Amino acid sequence: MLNPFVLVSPAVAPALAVAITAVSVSLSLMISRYFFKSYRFSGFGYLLGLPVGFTFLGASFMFEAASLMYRSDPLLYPAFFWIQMSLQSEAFALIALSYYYKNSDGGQSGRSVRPRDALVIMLPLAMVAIPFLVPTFSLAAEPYFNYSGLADLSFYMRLFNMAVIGYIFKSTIASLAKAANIKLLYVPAAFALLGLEQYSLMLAYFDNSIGAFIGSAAARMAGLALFAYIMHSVTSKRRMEIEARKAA
Amino acid sequence: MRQEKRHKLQLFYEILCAIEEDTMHNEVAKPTHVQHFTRLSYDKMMNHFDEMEKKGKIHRVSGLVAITAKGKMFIEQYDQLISLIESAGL
Repeated sequence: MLNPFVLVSPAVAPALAVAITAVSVSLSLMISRYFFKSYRFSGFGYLLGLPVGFTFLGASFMFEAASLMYRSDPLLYPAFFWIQMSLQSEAFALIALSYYYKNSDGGQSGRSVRPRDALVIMLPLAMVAIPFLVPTFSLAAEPYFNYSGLADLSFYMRLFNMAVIGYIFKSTIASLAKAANIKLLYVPAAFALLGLEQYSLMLAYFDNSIGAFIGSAAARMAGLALFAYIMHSVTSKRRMEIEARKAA
Repeated sequence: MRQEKRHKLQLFYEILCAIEEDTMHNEVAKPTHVQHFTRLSYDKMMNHFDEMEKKGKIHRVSGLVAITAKGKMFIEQYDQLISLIESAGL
């Protein structure tokens, strides 16, 4: 099984896929727009990973739905699944990169690069390269789409996604602890839900459980909705504070 | 205590906030007051004034400064940016 939507009854699957994809893509693009506006205003390079990452995430959901629509096509079905898998892992890697570069000094400290620093420099490069190179290598090694091979690869890519989300979660928790503001708990919670989505998809890979798949879709939408809600509430609350300050 | 290096956007924000604060009491702000609020050297502050005036964020009248609508908009956008960055855990 490549696309978990095939676990659902064929009569319901297309409608369910369209609904879940529409919600997920809209939320991803909404989050991306908030970060893109911030990036355009500030020009802070480390922020760019977030809008691009969430746009990639939205695109991956679209390819997931597209692969379901072409599930009878022997070429397009695995091809779209392959694109979705690469895009999704790349999306999480780019989002993690934003947190990585925010926490590091970006090599601006002026000191020379020591051998042990090479790992620190290589890590983000590897994080971005793996989601693209591993599936591409797998495709190049076997120019025809091997269903079971792709399914196995998706398991490893989900493991990679969970590791990357784990890193993001750790970074957001560290910021939360530093700021000592409980309201900042929402973002780690949102990433935890996205991590839960990947975990549920792994369960669905093992036992073809429809419950795990529905759980993954619910966790994904809840995570994205929570993230979008925080972005919206922060900007609108700030606007209200400014208006109140002006009125005073 | 050594002060952390401030980003240019943050400096603009602090200068504009200082001008806005000072203009609440007077029509225009005095550069010395702004300097006091922002803890900048006079030369550096004047360089920033030149740049901000070119960008239309402030205007100067006989040595005094006032914030423009574009400058006020900048304060709002910077406030939003910081809230967004903080809430995203960055």
